[in-house]
Amino acid sequence: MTTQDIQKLLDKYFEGETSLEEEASLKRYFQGKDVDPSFRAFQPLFQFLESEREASLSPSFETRILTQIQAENRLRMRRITIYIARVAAIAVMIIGIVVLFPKQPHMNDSIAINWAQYEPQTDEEAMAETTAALQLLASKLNGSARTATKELDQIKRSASVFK
Amino acid sequence: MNTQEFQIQVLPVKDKLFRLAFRMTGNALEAEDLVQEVFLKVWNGRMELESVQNIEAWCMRIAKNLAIDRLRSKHWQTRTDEEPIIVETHEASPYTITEQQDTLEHIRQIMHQLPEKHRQVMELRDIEELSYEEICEVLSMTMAQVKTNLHRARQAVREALIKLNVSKN
Repeated sequence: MTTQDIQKLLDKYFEGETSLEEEASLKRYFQGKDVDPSFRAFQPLFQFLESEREASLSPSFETRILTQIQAENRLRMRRITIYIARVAAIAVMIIGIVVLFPKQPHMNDSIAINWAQYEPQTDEEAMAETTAALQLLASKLNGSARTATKELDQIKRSASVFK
Repeated sequence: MNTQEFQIQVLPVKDKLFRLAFRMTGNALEAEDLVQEVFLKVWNGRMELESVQNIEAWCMRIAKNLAIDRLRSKHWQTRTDEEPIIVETHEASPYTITEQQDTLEHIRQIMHQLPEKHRQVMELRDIEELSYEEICEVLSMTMAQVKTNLHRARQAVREALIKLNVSKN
């Protein structure tokens, strides 16, 4: 690259308009030994940017992370196993209860009353049933009338005291 | 995602995460611990990874948020107390090494004097070589904000470098 090319790129860089490729070209140029004296002021910046990229984690870090991840996996599997075991235990308990204590039949469900057997079968039977029912009604009404007469007599006797 | 896929797709971002965490916390041990936390978080939430378009940017965003949480919850030493990173240089005399380290330390100071958002954008672009879209995702900024911050950061660094060069000469 010519000095003019570098100048253009530098101007573009400081304006914040360079692409990553152009920035890589500038970094390569300033890492070299043939930096034009007119650009020397900017060389430390690009050296600094490169040096900052050297900071890295120790090689054992990756192994440590993978070990931790595997430990997390084992822990997760153990949690899942415990959860499944709990669900299975509850299911076995429910099945056991159902098998050992079957549902008792309900009284209302098993005994159905056959009301048809009390129905009168002939006209004579129907007449007899009706007569018996009316006689029962008449005796009840007669009893009530006697009670009412007694009550009225008592009221009359009580009222005569105030005359 | 199984362990092997995790190893191939996620673990390679570890150094970028470490550098981001280190720059934010200023403590290498804390940064390593934070990266570990990021990976465990990503592993435990690996079912979500299918909907993630850029795993690297996603991991860096988690690291940035965790670092902010830690910085908020603890009293940290100021960045000026941190130990400078020793840069290995080859084929150079002890004098040259010291001179280079001094110069790099100057640049570091210039970077640290930038407003936080300017510095973060410039670090992600110029050190971690993230695309503008990735920077938007990591820092939760719009494209316009990223470009403005980058422009201002680089302009400030340019002016500081020219001043530094003048004072040396």
